[in-house]
Amino acid sequence: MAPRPVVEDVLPLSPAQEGMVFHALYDDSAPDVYTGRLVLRLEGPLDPARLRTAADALLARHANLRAAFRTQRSGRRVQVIAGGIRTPWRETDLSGLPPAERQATFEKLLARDRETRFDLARPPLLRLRLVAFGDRDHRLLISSHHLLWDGWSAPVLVRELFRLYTSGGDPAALPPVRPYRDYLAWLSRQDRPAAEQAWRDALQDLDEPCLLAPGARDLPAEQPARHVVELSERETTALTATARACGVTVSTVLQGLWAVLLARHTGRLDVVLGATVSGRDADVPGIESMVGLFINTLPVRVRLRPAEPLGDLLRRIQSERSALLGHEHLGLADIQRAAGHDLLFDTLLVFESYPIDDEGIADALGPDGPRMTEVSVRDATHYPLTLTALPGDRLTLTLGHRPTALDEATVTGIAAGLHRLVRAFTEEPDRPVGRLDPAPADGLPEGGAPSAGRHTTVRDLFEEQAARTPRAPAVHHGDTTLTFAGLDAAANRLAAALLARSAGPEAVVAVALPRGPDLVTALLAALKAGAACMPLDPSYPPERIALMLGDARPRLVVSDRATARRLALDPESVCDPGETAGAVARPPLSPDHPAYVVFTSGSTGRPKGVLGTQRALANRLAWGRELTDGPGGVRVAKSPISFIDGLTELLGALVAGDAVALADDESAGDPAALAALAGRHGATMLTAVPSLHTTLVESTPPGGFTSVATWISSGEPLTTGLARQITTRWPGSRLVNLYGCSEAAGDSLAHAYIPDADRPPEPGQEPAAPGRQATGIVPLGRPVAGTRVYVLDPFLRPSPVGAGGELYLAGDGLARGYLGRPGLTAERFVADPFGPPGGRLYRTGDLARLRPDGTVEFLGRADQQVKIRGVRVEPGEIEAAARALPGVRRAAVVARQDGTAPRRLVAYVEAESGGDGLPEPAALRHALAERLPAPLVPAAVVVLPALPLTPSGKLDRRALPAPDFTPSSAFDPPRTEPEKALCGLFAEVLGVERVGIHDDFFALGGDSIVSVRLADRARRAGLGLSPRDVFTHRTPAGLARALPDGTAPQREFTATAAPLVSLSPSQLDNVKARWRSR
Amino acid sequence: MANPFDDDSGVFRVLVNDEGQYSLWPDFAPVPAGWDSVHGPDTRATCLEHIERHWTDMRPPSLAEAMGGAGH
Repeated sequence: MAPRPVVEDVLPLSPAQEGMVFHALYDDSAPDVYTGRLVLRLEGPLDPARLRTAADALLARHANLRAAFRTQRSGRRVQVIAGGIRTPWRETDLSGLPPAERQATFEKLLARDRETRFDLARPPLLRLRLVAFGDRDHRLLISSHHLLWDGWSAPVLVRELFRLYTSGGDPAALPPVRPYRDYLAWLSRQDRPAAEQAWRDALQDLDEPCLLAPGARDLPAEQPARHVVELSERETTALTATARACGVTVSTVLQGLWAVLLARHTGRLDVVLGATVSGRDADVPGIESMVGLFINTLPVRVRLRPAEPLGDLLRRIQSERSALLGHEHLGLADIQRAAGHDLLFDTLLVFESYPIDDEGIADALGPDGPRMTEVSVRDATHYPLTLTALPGDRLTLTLGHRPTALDEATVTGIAAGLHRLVRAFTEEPDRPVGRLDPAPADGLPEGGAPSAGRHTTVRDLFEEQAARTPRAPAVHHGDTTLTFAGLDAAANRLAAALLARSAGPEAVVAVALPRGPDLVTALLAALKAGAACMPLDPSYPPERIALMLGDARPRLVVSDRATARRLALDPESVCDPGETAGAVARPPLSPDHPAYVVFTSGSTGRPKGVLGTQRALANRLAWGRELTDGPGGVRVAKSPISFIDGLTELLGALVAGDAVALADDESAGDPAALAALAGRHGATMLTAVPSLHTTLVESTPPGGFTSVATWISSGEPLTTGLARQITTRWPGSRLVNLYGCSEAAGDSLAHAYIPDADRPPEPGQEPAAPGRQATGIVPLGRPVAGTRVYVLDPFLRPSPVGAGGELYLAGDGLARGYLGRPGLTAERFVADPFGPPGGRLYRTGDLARLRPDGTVEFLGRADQQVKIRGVRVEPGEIEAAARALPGVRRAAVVARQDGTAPRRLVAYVEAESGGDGLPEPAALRHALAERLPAPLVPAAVVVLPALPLTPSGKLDRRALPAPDFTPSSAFDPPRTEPEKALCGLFAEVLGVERVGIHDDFFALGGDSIVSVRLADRARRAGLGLSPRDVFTHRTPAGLARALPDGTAPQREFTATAAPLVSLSPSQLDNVKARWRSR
Repeated sequence: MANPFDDDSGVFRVLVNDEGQYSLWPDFAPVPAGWDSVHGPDTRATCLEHIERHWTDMRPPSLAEAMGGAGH
């Protein structure tokens, strides 16, 4: 009977042990991947009892092999060394089996053993099994937890076991053991603060972790699959020689090449990989022959420069690492904490370079003992991808990967890429990093559909349609209906007036009119004259309109008298929409002439005007005819006209023969008003940004939008959840997701939503994109006619399928450029290496990845740009506007989401020093509202004594405080039931704690979308309010006063008959949380 | 995400195609077919200055010629 275990010692854990314990305990139902195994084949005479005695002696010799791992009540983990325990030992005899079955049975036994977890609390964490294949042929299986020893220890351990075998278990056969405890003591003497500082410096300004499989952390642990690349002897020799000539180690070469692969697969130049170091350089005498866990896993950060020769990069990696040499004892968790990241990398490089004393092992068995003829080692890591390099005459590169985190195809691609990079390095070690070619040309994307036919000008498209269906309705507005013939004639009359005033090809004609038939006529007239139309939203601040007019210098502005006066337009340049002139010959119009000017937010503080061509807009509109639902279609036109979507929505309907039902500005965001408009005209198609879709799903009155056959979503990422709600709410309708931007005529990619295919995978199911986490976002789809798309890596080469890169557009849709901004144009519209010679690419700044079938998925933004309700917002533009205000020294604008509040823009302002007191936030916000269009006005301005900065002087976004939307004035509690209800609803939709009756909806961060939610909630509570009321009356007290006499909130809300799908604030905010380019 | 066109410390060229369109171009990448390098290798700022100075008419040359050469 085994003696009762006694506690011999209690020790701290080494950093690597800490990490492994964490992963072992993380999910105790999953396999523990840190269960390692060593199989020795022993041929010749063997005495099992003697071997068992030797194993017991080995355990007695090494205290650390008898460790159990426990968590103290304080949460601190310790290893408890047990005394008086024996080595678990089993013997299995397979010699009775037919020889052919022995190996298979043994494999099964190994597999079962691998699944048998060690209980970290019950020492020892090792077990031996001797398997007899025959009298003189045995396998010794040594299974152990990786916590006990590392790869370096294995040969030491085996040699000692054999010495103890020959000595019959006499410990005197071996020199006294150097205890692991000495190493732990050495660790405790190291200068931790210095190490933390060194690692903090090394990882400074790292934006985000470098992850190949971002979702892997949430997946259960699993045994890895393996992919092996074995270099030839010649390749191995060349690699070693080239590395030596460059003055670097083979390990450094592999790290550098791995970094290049990571860049291609993550789209980033600042990458981090994990590397295992032996830890045997610690200043502990005799450490090289000790048994235990000394390794450590450390981050290797590589900042790639595409122009840098590979050899220079490798030397740089080596010297950057040598700066950290005294600090490699710090554990990964501590390094991550110092760097301010909870994760740094998910790929690991292990270079197995420990000494193996083959002769010593052979000698240990003595002349009469068995011979060890084979050794196999199997271990694993929890990382999604681990590259293990085993040096030898032929360098073996083993890629171990977690199959549910990274699929076989991706890993095969990475393995092949690594092999090619090794060859490229040996052939030309000084090739610039950006010209290394780790992939054959198979990543080249296919071209899109051919362009939409012979239509190369917008006026041709419209006039042909008008000739086909002259008597069909073209525009509905209020009680007015214009037929195609009527609209065509009116536009011809105005076009003549424009031409008479020399507004033809290459001229810009601005249109500043309220939404109505005149607006449609004027836009068409400009296009008929051959000019570029420039729609202006008359509700913009006059200062902003003046800026746009100053940039675009339109020949004429079509505007009515009232609007012209309000915007202070130069009377000389104004053309009334009713003007006409005698017939003027139309000058020829080339597809290369401009068709539209649309302004978008500019990061440098000034909006930029996109000048789009006839070819581009005509191509987009002609393709859009595919969207029609047949003759007699009616499309609601409600998008703000000064954006490209407003233009394509309107003109797209007309060139398809559909009528346009024009929504007023007030009804554009109000579900009840929109539903009434759609119902009145039997609208078949409606385009909305996802935030509006959310409102429509939530607040449309029963029976609303039943005529709509096609829903279009564009402007922001559409979540699969919202898509499902739309198609559930309106069964039988289809939902099309469009992606595009002003620089490419509005839309470049289209995806018809398929509920089952686009649904996010259930837990445990295969992810939508193999090996990659599902995005939860409906795909952007495939290119529309005449369009090509590319996802490119930081070296301007097609990213591997499934890997994130930056999205580029090419084809007919590309604009000429930015008005009066040749430099900006040349950096965004760039030479196309993939299409016809001399072509251009537009780089969108959006991050995307390709599915194997060519479908594009959206991943986020490459820069600071955000989307607010579909409108593209460059924080830099708002920052510039804020800096221009008196008393402001610096400004930073971020889109943030706090608690249940909707995502909103917040401006942080640093005041000029020496001023008298700080500027008033409300006054600053008011001043911004006078200069910027509504979507660009921050919901809050926060005045700070100084903007928080990182040690390197960059804005520290994480340190920016949440804005305080709590009203600054005294809290005035509600006095009546309606006020009480309204205060509660304010607080709910705005995500603030409490609201007084005089608190202003907009001062608390409200906006038009939230106003719709507020009105909807109020209506359900029996308080009949419209979004417009919210705009007009603004406070609970004001709104309560506006209620009809005798209104009282209902205690209970009775559900309507229609299915009402309601989103929680956090769901709504999720919808808004990710934005895309427009 | 690091885009090579945004690298302020990078080395660039200025390319022009037959349509007279300009493109900033990172020097590390091969020049695409149909484009000629007219300036560089040089700093990003200098290349952009070159473009601002020389690309004064964004109309394709064929259009500009058909319209009598003068800008509008």
